[in-house]
Amino acid sequence: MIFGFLPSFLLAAAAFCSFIPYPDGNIYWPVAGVWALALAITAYRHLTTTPLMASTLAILLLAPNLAGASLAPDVQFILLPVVAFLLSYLTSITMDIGAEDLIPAMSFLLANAFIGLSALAFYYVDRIVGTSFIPTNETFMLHLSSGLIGIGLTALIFHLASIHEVKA
Amino acid sequence: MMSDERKELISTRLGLYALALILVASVLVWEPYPALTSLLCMAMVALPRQARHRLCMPLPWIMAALTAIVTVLHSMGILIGAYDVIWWWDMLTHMMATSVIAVAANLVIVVRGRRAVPRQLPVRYVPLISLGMVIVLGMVWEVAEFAADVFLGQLTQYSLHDTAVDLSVDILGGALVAILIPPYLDRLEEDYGICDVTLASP
Repeated sequence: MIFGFLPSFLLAAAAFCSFIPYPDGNIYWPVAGVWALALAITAYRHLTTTPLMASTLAILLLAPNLAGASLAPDVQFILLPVVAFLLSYLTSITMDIGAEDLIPAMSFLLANAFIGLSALAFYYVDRIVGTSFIPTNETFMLHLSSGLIGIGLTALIFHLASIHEVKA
Repeated sequence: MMSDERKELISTRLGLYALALILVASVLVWEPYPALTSLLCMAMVALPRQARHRLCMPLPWIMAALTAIVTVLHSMGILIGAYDVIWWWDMLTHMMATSVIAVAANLVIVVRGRRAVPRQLPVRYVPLISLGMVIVLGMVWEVAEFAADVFLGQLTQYSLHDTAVDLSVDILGGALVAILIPPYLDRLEEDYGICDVTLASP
């Protein structure tokens, strides 16, 4: 019983670790951590059915801490699209929509929506509060384009892996 | 009383005539960007007719009319420089374009969702998924504009504010459709988007 909930505990712990700040750290990383925490709390029963994916997500969330302070921002930048995709996938599974063949495509859309909406949210926070999370258009576009490319590649790998699995 | 198909045909024709005029005007003043845009827009204006006849997906005639209007506004806006002079032109075209795309996305997802395995996609999720699709298309559009500015020396993105407002308006258009469309989706017939297979005559 206890071991069944281990992925949820691990994911919640990793989500808390994502809040550890680093100099020049990725501003979207803690937001992904909040999403992971919400998932670990609200969908802990569903996560028992997908322990491998939940554990992988937890390890990815811990990766910047394992890499060290100097490498953490780069690791966060590279892993953010993968983390967003896995979070979307797990969220889609917990919604029990039935159309399982559409879940990878929906995860692609949801993960990109997260990237786009979080960028916009930080832009409006800057406008209202006077912070400078997104100082230039280039920063904004870098986030959107890296998200689109990274999530697209992750979805493609997922798709190819599932085809391979069906053939096997 | 005029049928929906007839109204769609008239809207499509009017749109094509207007775009042809913009194409000719662009060639006369030697402006390749609006000329190419109007050509691409002509293909888009023809899409509702194609969806009706090739995919068995009749769209509401207002979709054909809106597609014609927004493509004409966009091409004309580039030709006469309305995007530079009228501050709300960009917002108007973004809002209209994403609304049209969102309606089309909803219908495509309904049709695809009915064939999903192991169970069909519940209709209540369709507007949400289409909203996600609109957000992604908005992001792709902005990235494409940015790439055009960087690699082709264009000026399509004026500032961070401009980009953020464009994306916000896109999302607003998609959200508006997601709120309004559920009753229409519930009324769609079971065979919507399913073509009869007809055997070719020998």
